[in-house]
Amino acid sequence: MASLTLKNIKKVYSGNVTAVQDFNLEIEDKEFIVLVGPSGCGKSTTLRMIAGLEEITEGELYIEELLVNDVAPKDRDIAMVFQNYALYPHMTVYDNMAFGLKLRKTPKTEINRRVREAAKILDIEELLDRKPKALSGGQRQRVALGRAIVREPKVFLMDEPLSNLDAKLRVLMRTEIAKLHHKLQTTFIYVTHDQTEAMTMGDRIVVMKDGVIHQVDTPLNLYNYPANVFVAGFIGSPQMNFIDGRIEKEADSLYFAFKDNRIKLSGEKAKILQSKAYENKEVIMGIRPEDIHNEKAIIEKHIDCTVEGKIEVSELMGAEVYLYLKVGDQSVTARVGANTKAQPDSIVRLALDPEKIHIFDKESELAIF
Amino acid sequence: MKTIKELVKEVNSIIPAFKGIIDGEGRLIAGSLCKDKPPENNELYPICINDNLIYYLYCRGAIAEDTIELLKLAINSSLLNTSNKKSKVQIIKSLMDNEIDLISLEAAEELLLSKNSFTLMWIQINEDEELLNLHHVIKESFKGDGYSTVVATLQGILIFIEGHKSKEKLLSKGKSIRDTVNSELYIDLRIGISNKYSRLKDFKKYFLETKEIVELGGVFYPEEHIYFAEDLKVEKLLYAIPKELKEKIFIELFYKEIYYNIEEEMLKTISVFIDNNLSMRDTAKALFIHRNTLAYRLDKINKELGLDLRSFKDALIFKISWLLKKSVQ
Repeated sequence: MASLTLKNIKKVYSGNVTAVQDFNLEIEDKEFIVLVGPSGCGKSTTLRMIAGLEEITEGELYIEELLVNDVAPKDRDIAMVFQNYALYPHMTVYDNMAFGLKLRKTPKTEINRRVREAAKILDIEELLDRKPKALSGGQRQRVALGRAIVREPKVFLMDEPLSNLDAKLRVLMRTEIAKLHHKLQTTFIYVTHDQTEAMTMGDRIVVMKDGVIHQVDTPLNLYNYPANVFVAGFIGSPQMNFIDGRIEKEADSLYFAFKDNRIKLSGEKAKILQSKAYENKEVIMGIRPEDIHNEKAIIEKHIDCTVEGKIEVSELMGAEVYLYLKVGDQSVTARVGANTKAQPDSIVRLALDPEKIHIFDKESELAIF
Repeated sequence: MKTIKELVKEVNSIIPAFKGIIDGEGRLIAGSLCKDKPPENNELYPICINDNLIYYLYCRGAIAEDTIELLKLAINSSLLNTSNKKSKVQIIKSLMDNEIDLISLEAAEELLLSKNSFTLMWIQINEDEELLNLHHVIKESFKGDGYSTVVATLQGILIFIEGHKSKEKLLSKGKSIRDTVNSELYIDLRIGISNKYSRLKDFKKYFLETKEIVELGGVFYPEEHIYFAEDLKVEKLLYAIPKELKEKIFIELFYKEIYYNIEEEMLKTISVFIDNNLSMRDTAKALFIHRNTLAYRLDKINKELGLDLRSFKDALIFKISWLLKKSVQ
């Protein structure tokens, strides 16, 4: 169990290629923290710097208040699980889990204790004599986790460990890893490019892009209060709709206007925009697909917040329908009830929940609210 | 194919009287010697491999003749496999040192080129003290795959991969080796993967070229760890130019202050744009930016560097100048 502090961490490769910069983060003891972002955003490099597999160019890394920049990886009390794990095909599950300890000359009795304890935690005691080829995908994944557990580390580092699994198994193993964290009560640092994985597993999520942290927060806060356009678009599926437009004033109210559409902003939101002098300025409006409604009652309630759109595609997802529309020249996705009768090519009126509207600065792309 | 130890263990569980295998000098190869029992009950049944290697099946008491014949067949085949593996390692070592005569070369080709071609994979680490453990991990990872021979040297590990393997498969194997070594030994490594070859005659040259791939990759792409010879052809050409000449070319043809102070965002945009074959759509998607933002950045690059990267010629100029810069550094 350990807390970690990353202070002004920077990674520059020769040729002046910066992979990570200004990385500041406090990770609490027993926390499950997820680093998420698109490919090449620096999340794996950050994890590898924590592991000691990559040198830190600048900054300080503390594990339990001990500066570990120059501590060898094997002495950092960490264990790693990676995406392309491979079990030794000719070894039993027991030997697969024990191999790393044998290489480190751990006494046999100690190896035996650790392997059996890890097997118990992972519920694979009855598989210890089997060879990898006799295991299912999920069982193999558990053995891979077991190889890390036997190290009895203070910190677990996981780099996309589920990426090579099929969709069904990935969902199952997501829960298994969350349960494991609960059982072990150890700090977990988990890297993924999959925002759903991040949202469902992490106590907190670090969203990264281009080697920089864009936001650190709980999954719910990230979803409801994204710090900028990138976070708003990256978190959530289908992703948030973004519409370029302008803030206009009429009488005492503020409107978000684009093409022939005007959306009335709620009093509180209007006040924020006024206080920051956004009247007559270009902005980006964001609204999540589930905050766009086609029910008559809601449309009537928010009549000042409606737009008309032409349905291009309608996708039935079972409990709901995704409507892909054109509103003016903008593409918009709405997530509505499965009982909708809306058909492709038809024109529909939709209401935007005024409380759920996000406005971003056009230039900096930072959230105003 | 089962290892000899596994086979002996399995046979022993079915026929308890069968205890193991010893060599001609009485050394135990696999199984147990039951030293505490009187020797008069022991039975030895000889088996030969390649007409000269003699082993004995070691039993406590007599076993039916038919059973012995079956046992001999199974164990012979397993021992032969072990013996061939040993020979392969020795032959590859001789080839690496260029210490092989023509007659032996013919025999080597028969043994190593049964699948007509081969690829070399060179694994290099910085921590020499972990070389032995690295060898253990790699050997165990490839054990019994039927196409790889792992050879340890003082500088790294060479894997001789028989037959044709696709680039995806080799990359996947490389990633798997790296992830396994990272998590088992807490060390990082670099892997060079050669072209496909079909002759052993110039093996030493191929081996040295494969080692060079790791060196080239480290110079040009230090952020990556697995390199293919076929991806580093231009880099190899530039690396071969003497340093002074490289500096001269760079200064004469490409030098601009901007090349030294290029913004990170700009550099990444260019790199992703070139990697995506100058496709606006794929680059915008890969960078998570709007196509218009990409167009704006490319215009900015054009203004500052004087290169319109949307044209192949200018993109090539940038790529070469950038590689030259890395090589000079």
